[in-house]
Amino acid sequence: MNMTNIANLLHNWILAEPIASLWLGIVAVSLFGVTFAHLTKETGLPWGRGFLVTLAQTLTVVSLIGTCYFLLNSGFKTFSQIYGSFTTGGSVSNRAWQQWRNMYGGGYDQKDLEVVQFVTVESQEVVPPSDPSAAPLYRNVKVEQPVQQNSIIGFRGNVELTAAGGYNNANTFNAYALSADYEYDIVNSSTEETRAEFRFPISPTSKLYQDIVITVNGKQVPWLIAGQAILWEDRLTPGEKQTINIRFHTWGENDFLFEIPEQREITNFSLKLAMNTDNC
Amino acid sequence: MLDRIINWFSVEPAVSVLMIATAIVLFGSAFRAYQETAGDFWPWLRRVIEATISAALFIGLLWAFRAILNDNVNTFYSTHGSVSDISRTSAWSIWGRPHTQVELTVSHSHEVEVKEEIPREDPTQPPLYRTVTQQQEVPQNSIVGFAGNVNMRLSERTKGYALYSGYILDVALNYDIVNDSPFKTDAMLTFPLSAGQTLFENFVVEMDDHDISSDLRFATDKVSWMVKMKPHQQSKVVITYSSRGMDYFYYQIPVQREIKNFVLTLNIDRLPVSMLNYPDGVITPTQIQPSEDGRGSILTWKLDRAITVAGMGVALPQPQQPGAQVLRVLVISPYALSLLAAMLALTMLIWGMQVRFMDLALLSAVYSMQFLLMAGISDYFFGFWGALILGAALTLFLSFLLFRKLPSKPLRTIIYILVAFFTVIYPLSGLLTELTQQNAFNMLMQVGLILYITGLSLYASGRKPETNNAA
Repeated sequence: MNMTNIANLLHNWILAEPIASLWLGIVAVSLFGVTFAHLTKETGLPWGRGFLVTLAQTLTVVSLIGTCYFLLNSGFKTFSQIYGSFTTGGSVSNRAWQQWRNMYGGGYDQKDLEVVQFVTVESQEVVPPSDPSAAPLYRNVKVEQPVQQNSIIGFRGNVELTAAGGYNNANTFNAYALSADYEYDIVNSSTEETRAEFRFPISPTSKLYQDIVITVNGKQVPWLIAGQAILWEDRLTPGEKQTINIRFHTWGENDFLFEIPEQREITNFSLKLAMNTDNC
Repeated sequence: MLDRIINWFSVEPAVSVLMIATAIVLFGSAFRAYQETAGDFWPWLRRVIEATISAALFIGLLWAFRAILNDNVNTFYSTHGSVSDISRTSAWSIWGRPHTQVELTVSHSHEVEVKEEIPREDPTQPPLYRTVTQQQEVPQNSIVGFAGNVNMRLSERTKGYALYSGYILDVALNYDIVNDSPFKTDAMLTFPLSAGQTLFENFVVEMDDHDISSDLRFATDKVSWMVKMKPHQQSKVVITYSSRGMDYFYYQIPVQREIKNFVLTLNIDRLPVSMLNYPDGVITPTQIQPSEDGRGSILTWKLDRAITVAGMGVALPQPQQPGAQVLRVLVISPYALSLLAAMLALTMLIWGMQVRFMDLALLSAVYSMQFLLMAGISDYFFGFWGALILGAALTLFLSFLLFRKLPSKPLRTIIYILVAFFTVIYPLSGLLTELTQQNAFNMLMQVGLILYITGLSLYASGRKPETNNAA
């Protein structure tokens, strides 16, 4: 550190605390003036020696005030490092936050149920012959085609976020346990029987889902996990309606989001979000 | 030089301020002592130089003894619990690395005959078919129940001059599997082994109470076998083995699936509940109990209708290293010396006495001797407490001899109290392990020292000047 750095340090301090630095400047100048006058006029000290002694005394006082300021500032920084916000690396709150994230994940992002219905159609496929000069070959193939329809005609969602005690103080993060109960009304509005694929996305940041129950018209259905979603299939007759109930518990922190990922006509949609702060 | 001073201010703000303040007071005191000779410039300059030398001597003396104590700390640490990544890697390769047990996977497939249409030239003709055999996967969630029991016995391992947190594992994993399809399937069961682990013992796989060791196929870090399963057949797979590892253990379900009837119990023999910690990305147990003797912990993860790929396990704390308590006391010794010397000098100056550098040097030497003695004998004779008591007793006795001829009895008493505090009580603050406790102690001590200096100044200014205050 050279003189330029010290000058920069002083300059930054003046910018950060203009009032305190102004007062310190006034005190230093006054002290210098009074001491110099006292030493040279009343004590009879020569001008040169008086100047040096006054300068030394003034610098000593200013340095002591500066070091005390530095000491208090250092104490504040140390205290902040321990008890500061959860965004301060190494603080108690930050460690709790990291631990929560590692164990239970971050903010919760719930995307809406996706329902895709397919009908099977038979068509002829041209098989390219191995000899280009030969006539083309044909075979019948059955292919599934998605049916364009708005399958979800009603939704009732109840979400309860229970704030986890001990974490959600001022300057700390907001951890919560989440209980969700979603009910969907599904319809096959086409005139043909369809194979319906149901994909219920799970939040990518969540580490643990528990007590997952999925019922269709009151009966539990088996399901699999594929592509970060709970997946099951069913066959729907023309005009058939189903009521799907999805319940689970999970954990998150700071934010909760329910999202309808694709534009569709939203009918009979009701989502209730309750906050339970008993543990706070 | 200036960089070092600024750095020292950042690391030890309280002690640096105290030492600088003491040096300034020392300078002022030395300067004023010659006031009667004030007059000409050269005697005045001589006073300035002599006072500066006094202050510099004080700072230099302390720096020299701090250097000795810092060197003592470094020497002791190099042979007591100096954990290093190289030694840890070496210990992993010899004893075993962290043990991660990934779940058994079951994949079903079956042979099916499918009719394949033969391409025809005339699309108006009826299609012709041929029959071909295909091996098709039967996707299903085969594991319908799990009961795992892992017994962990801690076994600290020594490598270099440090101890590492090794352990021995006895693992018993019971899987309930089912072929949930209406087909007869070929079930391929694959059991991953902890990657790069050094030793597995008593490795036994039983299926429906039959030892199937002869059917096992071993590959790098995995064991697999094939069985035929009838439609809706249920089977029990029991896998047992013993192994060892270090630092942490966890069990993991590698891919997202519906987890049903899952219970994993981890018994740790010598890790009390208060010291439990978990590796990154591991979910906390659903139940934590102390073991019967209270020295260990029983962790249980009970899941049903759940989804998770997070692990379930425990991270072991770094074992108490040899000489750890001594090291913690030695680490604060340079700081303690600076405080003691500064307080002693300020006490004498406030009392109206000049600082006797010979006494200060001898006290610094005597005080440093306490920590050198601790580092030297704690391994051989008396352990931590014995070395501490012996060192403190010797320091107190020599300090008594050093200051017994001080003319003022109250000053003598104050100095003895100061030395006793920094010899007996302050070193014990090194045993505080929590950062919050350490900070609280240091802050309170700084408050105490400020109160002491203020009180002493008030007392000294109010008392009659002593006649014998010369050096």
